[in-house]
Amino acid sequence: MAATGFLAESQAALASRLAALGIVTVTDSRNARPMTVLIEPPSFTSFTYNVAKVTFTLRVLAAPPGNKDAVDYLYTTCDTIIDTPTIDVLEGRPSLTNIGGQEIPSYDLTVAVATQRR
Amino acid sequence: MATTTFLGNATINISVGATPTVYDVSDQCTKCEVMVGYDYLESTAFGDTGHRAVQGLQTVAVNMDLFLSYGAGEVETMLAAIQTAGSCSITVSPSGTTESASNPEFVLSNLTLENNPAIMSTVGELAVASLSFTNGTWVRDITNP
Repeated sequence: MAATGFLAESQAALASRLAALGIVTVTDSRNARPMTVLIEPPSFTSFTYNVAKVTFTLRVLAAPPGNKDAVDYLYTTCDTIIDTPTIDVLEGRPSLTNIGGQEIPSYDLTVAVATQRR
Repeated sequence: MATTTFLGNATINISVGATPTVYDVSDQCTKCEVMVGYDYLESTAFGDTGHRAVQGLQTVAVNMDLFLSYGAGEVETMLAAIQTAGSCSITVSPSGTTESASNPEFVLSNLTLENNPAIMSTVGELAVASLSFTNGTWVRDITNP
């Protein structure tokens, strides 16, 4: 059963905006792989039952090992996302992501989305 | 003493215009304060040992925080309409539109909006408009029509 509601809709909206930048997005962690952006399940703060601030962590995944090529890719992809007026990137930090026992060089970006149900 | 408690949004409808357009902002409002009262007029007489006062004109103050949404029927559109009309009416009750002793409805008429915070943009934050309404009259209603 596909997810419904404001969390699913805000995630879909974010994925759509990333796709418009030519970025491959993944919302199922089983499909996370290098050269994609994994959108993790968000945290949120309710304003009312209809309005919420939804905060996503985007995990930008580069190809291992964590050498300069990987860092160049991360810098460029992060900059592409940050330089988008319709995506509010609040902060970012370098990270390592473990996928299938393999450590993947990555960047975590925190993105806020304001959403209302109707 | 309390037999019922609830944590929820007040029910708020704002009417604007001579042929009123009603905006239900209940789902956009995170805070609503209604303060009603009277101006008190001095009626102290000779022989009184303290001040006395009688009720004068009604007073109304309404403060609310709304999510500042844009578009037809949305909050910013309503604020612009209130400014154009010059005044508005607000009907507020704690929970739902069925009046009762446990759900008193306040009908506030001829209110004026002090300021229209048309744009409240902060990166990464919800746009929240803090509104203040003054002037006008009030009626408390606990009888379901």
